[in-house]
Amino acid sequence: MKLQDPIIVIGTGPVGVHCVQQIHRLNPQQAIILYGLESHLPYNRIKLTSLLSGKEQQPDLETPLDEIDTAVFQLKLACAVVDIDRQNKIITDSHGQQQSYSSLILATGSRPHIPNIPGVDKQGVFTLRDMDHVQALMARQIRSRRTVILGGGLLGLEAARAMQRYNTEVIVIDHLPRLMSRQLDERGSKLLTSMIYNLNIRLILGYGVTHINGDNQVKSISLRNGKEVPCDTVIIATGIQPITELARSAGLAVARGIKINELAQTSDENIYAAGECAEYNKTLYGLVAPGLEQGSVAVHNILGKKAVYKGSTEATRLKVVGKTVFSVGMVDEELLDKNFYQVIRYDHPELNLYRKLVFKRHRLVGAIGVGDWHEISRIQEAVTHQRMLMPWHKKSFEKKGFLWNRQENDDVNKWPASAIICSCKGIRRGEISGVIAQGCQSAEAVSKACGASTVCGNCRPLVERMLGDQGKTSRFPYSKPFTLLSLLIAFATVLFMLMPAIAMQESVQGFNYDELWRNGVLKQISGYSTIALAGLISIISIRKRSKRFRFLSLPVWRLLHISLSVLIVLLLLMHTGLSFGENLNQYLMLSFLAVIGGGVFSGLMHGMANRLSIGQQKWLNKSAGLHLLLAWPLPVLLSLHIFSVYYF
Amino acid sequence: MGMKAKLKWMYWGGVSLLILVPVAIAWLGGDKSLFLPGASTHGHYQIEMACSACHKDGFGGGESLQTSCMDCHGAELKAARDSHPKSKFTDPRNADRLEMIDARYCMSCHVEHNPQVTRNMGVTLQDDFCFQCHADIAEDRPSHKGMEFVSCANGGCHNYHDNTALYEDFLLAHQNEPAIQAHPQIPATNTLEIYRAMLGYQPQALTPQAANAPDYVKVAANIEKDWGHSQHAVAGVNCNDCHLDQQSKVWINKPGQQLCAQCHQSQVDGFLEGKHGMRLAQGLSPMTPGMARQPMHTDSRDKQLSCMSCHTDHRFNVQQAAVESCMTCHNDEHTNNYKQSPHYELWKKEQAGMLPAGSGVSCASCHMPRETHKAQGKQAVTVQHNQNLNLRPNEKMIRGVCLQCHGYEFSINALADDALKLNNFNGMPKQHVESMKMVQQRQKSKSK
Repeated sequence: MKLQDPIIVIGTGPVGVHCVQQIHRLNPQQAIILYGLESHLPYNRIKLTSLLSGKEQQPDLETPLDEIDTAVFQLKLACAVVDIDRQNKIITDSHGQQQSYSSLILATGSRPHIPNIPGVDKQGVFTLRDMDHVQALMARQIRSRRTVILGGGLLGLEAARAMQRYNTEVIVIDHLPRLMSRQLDERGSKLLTSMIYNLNIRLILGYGVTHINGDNQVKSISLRNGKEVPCDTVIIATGIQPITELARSAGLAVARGIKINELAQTSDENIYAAGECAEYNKTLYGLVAPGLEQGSVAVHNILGKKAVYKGSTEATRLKVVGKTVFSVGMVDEELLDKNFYQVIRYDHPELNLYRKLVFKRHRLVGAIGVGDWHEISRIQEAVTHQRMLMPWHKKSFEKKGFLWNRQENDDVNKWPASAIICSCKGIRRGEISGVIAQGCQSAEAVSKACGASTVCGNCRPLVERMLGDQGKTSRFPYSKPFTLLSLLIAFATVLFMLMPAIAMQESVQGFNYDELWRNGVLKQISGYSTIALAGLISIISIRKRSKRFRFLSLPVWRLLHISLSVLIVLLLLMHTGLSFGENLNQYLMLSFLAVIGGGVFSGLMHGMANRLSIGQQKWLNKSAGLHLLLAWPLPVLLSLHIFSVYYF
Repeated sequence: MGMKAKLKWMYWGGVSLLILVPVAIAWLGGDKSLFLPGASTHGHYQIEMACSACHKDGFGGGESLQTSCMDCHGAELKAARDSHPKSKFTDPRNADRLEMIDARYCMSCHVEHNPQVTRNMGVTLQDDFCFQCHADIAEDRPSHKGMEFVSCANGGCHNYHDNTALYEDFLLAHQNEPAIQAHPQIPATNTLEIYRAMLGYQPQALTPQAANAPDYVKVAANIEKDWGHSQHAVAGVNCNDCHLDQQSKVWINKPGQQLCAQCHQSQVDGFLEGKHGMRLAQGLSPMTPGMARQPMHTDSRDKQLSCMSCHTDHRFNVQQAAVESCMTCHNDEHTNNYKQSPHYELWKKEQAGMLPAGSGVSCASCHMPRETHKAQGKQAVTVQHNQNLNLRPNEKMIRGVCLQCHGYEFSINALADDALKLNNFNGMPKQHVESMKMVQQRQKSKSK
């Protein structure tokens, strides 16, 4: 089977897979061929350390592409591309087969950077980059008594934690004096160091490794200070090196990585590059999220949809130590000009908390968080968009460590639509709300529909929170009675306002309905009944807010509220006879009608709540708030009214 | 409670204060207009902003209000020999009637500030309210069979309170009277005589030269002249008698009604009870035609009512006060037709000396009638200055005013004729009130 003018993607890593998915999503008819050097089915590289630590099993990592019809898609595993004939737009694979392409995406990724240390080729020296490495390490893991990890970065620390699985003694060595030096500042590193130390991971910082000793098998390592550290396993996690040979041999512009422009294009307009192999604006990104962004940009441009890449804000999250270590944007104070940047901190080592925000002219440009911090996702979004923050937000941060109040954060649906929920895939709150509105009722369905939470899984709790009670039962039953009763009350209220006061009777003979307005006792009965009923139905306000008072469910309360409101309108009629009165009484009446009007509005909103999107549903609360706000002068006016009736 | 909740309650407190504080400030400053639940009746609107005139004690309830009613209207009701007095209803035999209308209280029928239900005479009950107690009247008085209950009080036969000219014996006493009596004259006032009796001696009449204003007061020549020709000069009342404060001996340029009251107590009392002076009586600013609900001349809208506004100083011409003073302000059809009326013809002739004194009929003749009562051991004839006393319903005018010159039937028919009232009684009454005939028939059937 031969595919016509396919788009060829080289590399089965997360970026390559992402590109294939994106192309298929945007144009399901487009023929695609994915080449992979590895023999494994595409898998989620980010979670390799989870596999090593035993937290996840191999099937959990697989990112199969079976949803794509084989009529348009071919997956070629263990099949390296060895040559690109740019002139004829033909590639040659390691089996000698040729394949023409319309466009080519290079997602070849990177290989571990192996430092030039004598003895790195000995048995027992490992790297941690792909499935083969992990499988080798998993075999080694059981026997290793003492593992030395070179490199105190993200990967090194994750590997250290994973290697502890069978009580192996783990030592992390870095030639720099602090951990995660790229992402954290000194205070952050220090706190992280103490947290790592508490995990029984030994740290040797500030001294490079000079030798890896042993005959065939690693026996020890020698440090620059002359000390020797015995060990049986060494894992090298000292960084990555982009794989650029293929590009180089094809004559593409290559610096440290394959150079790409803002369209993710290499120097050949038909060849694109994305991920760790690509270099944009002299920057190599060693994280998955920027790679996915570049991949998306490449795919859009290939398919003729305009997209521009402007560089990425780097955001990292480390979870190995049980607590979150988070870093985004510009955080290195040494690089910052004090005249333009403002740094505020929340530093509580006794609580294992350290937080730092960097502002450039009141715009958030960087953040560090060591220790759990529920605002991380939102902060990442704010940094990405360099959002302006208000002085009270900063005040709150300095005092409590939080920028936003808890409720604002807890309700993910209230976040800006542009807030990134899934930072790996760059999926925004709005998009997720969209697929939820289209009927996705579980986190799995949301993941399937838009790809959120399919890479690192950090954002899954956010997605679940967005789903809220949805999928269980509707939060707004009784929509029909709501609408009908609201309309009924609205009708009565409009009548109230337009009709003249009910005429008093001309004769005392026969039935005297106007006794209602002539007889003081009847007036008091209708008046106090109105108040009592109004008081009764405002218990809903307590039911809504109180943690202790949980009698009947909120929808039932709402139905009670609106049903009894009909009675209130009737009682109001009995009390006033449609007469507005003058002065105070008139104000009271207007206030009452305003409350009823607000209630009608809110009632109608709740009546169609189920047809509203999550974003629009926030108006439900707002309408109820308006209803309550309008009711606020009522107690005072009512009190004055009652006072005046008895005083005069 | 969370910070946000606290903040909300604070907002609520703020909103409440925002309403309460101005209300409290206005209340303490005496302005309770916010609480006025509706326009007041024609009888009370002038003083509606003096809440405490009626609402004497806060939270006083019905009894307190009843006391207020009686403070102003009690004497009048007594004088009118109220046909439905409270005593009638405190009688246990009538207890069941109170179920229908609690007639012990004025407010059962006269609810204030309720323009929607307010009818003639400030009654807030339906016009056929008599039905409540007198539904079976036709059994007692077969002549009333088939009559509408709205006609009891509106037909000119009955009045809930004032019975002075509407009881059978009175009608019988005045049956068969001619339209105009043999000696159609009203009594002359004798204020000077009473004054002299009060003093116990005859003070000398004064001349303009005798004016005794202090040296530091410059008295215009025309003022001395006017005073010199006034009844005050005749009675020996000099400048200082009115203008000098009795205690401090300080000159008062414009003496108020309390100074007039030194000699004219009953007149001032009447003035303060009526619509011209009721605002002054409550300590409010004087009434002005601009505040009136009746039609008034626009150019006099800002005139302030006091004794002097009608009795122009220093002449104190009562003839002028009786007609021209009224017409400066009042601008309704009845007033404007006065000068085309037979009453005015008589008044002109009296002024010209063609008819004996008391033959003319001025505005005051009817609306500020002369009353006879005992004073200083004599029959005193004084002018009732409460112009409202014999109005609403106007049958109250029959005994004290109309019968002085006219026969009963003519009077009651004329008062029932709305067109006649508007053209100021220019012509013969076209209405006919049946009461005289019914009384006579009943008398006949009794004597049989």
